[in-house]
Amino acid sequence: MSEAGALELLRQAGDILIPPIVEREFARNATGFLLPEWIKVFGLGKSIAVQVKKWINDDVDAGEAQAIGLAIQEEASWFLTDDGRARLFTESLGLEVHGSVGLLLWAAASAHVTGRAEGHALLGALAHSSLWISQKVLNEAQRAMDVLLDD
Amino acid sequence: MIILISQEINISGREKIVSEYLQIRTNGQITLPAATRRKARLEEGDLLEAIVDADGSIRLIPKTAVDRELVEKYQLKDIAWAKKQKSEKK
Repeated sequence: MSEAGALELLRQAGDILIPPIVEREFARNATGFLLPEWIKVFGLGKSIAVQVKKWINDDVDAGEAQAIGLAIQEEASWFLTDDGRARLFTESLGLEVHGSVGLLLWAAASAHVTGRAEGHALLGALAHSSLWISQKVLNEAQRAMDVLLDD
Repeated sequence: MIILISQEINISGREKIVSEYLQIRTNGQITLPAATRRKARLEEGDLLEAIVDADGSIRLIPKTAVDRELVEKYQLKDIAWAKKQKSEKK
């Protein structure tokens, strides 16, 4: 979302929480880009931290596992990830999961995107980011964007 | 900077791990040698996830066709979900 210049839309979704390990990954990987102050860093309680360690495997790394643990601990409405395997596992735990494409279209459905031009520009930027999007998904998303911003 | 993928080790005379030194060039570009691509069964257009571990080592994880299918399935699911959000708001 930040690569597409759409991070502000994430803020519209509500309180955004991340565990400390994700904050450290962000600081290490996103050189020259500061984590917005509205993204809150929450630690894990002891009981959920024990469970989180058991989830780490080839499909779920430590950051994803801690984020899932935090979502359960804080009873989050949504868990956000673009990783297919992490999403598969998270949904198996009963959490509602969405990715960047969904969040962008949700923002359009919720009137946080002002018009078609902005909506399509954001979709285009997302398609040119490091997130992999197939042509089929891009076509579907563009059609959906038109429908959502039609009224 | 040079990244060492792995040492060339012959484990019990059975398994041989390919070793290559890669040099980082302009704009951070590196080239994976043909032998490494063959061993990892990588083709042009494949995606690699770069993971930087706490000790500074870098792992490149191929994102397979299965990953792409999964990602596409969930993105289409999200599109349907967003459209439903709109219809429920009406």
